[in-house]
Amino acid sequence: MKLLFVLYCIFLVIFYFWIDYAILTDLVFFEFYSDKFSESRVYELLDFRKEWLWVTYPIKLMIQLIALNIPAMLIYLGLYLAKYEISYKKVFGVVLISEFVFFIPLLIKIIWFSFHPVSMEAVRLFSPLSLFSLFDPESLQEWLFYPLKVLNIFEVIYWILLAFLLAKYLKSSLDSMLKIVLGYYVSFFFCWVVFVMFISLGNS
Amino acid sequence: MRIKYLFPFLLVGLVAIGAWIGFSRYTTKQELQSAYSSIPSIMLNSTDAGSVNLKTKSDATPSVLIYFNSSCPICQSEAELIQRNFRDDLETQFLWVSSESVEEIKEFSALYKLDSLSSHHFYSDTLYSLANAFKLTGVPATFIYDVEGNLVDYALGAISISDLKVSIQKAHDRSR
Repeated sequence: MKLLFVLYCIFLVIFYFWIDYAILTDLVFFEFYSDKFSESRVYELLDFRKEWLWVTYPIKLMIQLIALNIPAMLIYLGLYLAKYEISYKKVFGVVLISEFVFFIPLLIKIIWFSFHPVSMEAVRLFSPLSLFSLFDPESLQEWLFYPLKVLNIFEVIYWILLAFLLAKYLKSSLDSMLKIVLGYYVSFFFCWVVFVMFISLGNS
Repeated sequence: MRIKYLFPFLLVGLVAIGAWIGFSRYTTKQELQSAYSSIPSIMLNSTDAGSVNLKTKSDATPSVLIYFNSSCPICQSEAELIQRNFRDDLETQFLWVSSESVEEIKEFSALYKLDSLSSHHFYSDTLYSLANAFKLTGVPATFIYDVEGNLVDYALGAISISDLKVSIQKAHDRSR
């Protein structure tokens, strides 16, 4: 379990590092900021980024740790209420394994931008195999970006994988585990999406 | 067993909190937009020691109203970019307002070579009249108005020059 978590963190840092240093290069940042700031200010910002970017990695890891615990807690609650006997550590392990699915879109992003022109806007709008990719971003309102981006194939695979691994571990049916995942995690996920949507609607 | 029924309520609570935050942000934004809708009629000190009404100053051409502070790095960047991109634009007037003294403002306009441009006007607002009228809490704040003084666009914080160009064009189009 510990080894798996360390492996997850290493993968995550490698992917973020790759995106930050190989895709979002100084040139990309320069192009983006030169429309807003003077040249000297942009260089100051780039120096600041170079000096402090490493700080974002432990912060991202901490946020990810919290993000891993949310589905684990919700599924644990669902299993507890449905009278299944399982420890929180095991549920966390299942969530951790399933989370590896989300490395696929990151890998796709890296491969895609290794062969296509990079701009901050293109990276921001890139969301492979999601509902967002079916629409022209210019025709969409900003508040629709988040819900359409998070509703993607990988998210659905994640739900199924969670249910499959839980069913395998608890020697239960996939159907009953899907009910737990859908009832406790997916319902929360949709409410969270609506929560964010409301907030961004207020800003738009 | 009761805890089972508590969960849907927590979810509904989450959505309700989101709706409440979203709605309050929306109403605040609407209030601000209505405050920004036209250039306020406030008296300011111009750099040539005279007193002017900002509203009357904005007549005749589309205007860009910029609330700034000379020590703010983003304002400095904005001044540099505006000087470089709009120095030949004589059909738009740029009204720079700061809560600093006339001397500090003069220094700023000279530093960014805006003092010699006829379409750029600098005003001192030591009584914070503009900040109060627009409920501004930070600099820079940029407002674009058409020839009739109606709001076209605004940006709180750094504005992109390409967005500013589009907004100014929109202000000119509306004025025709």
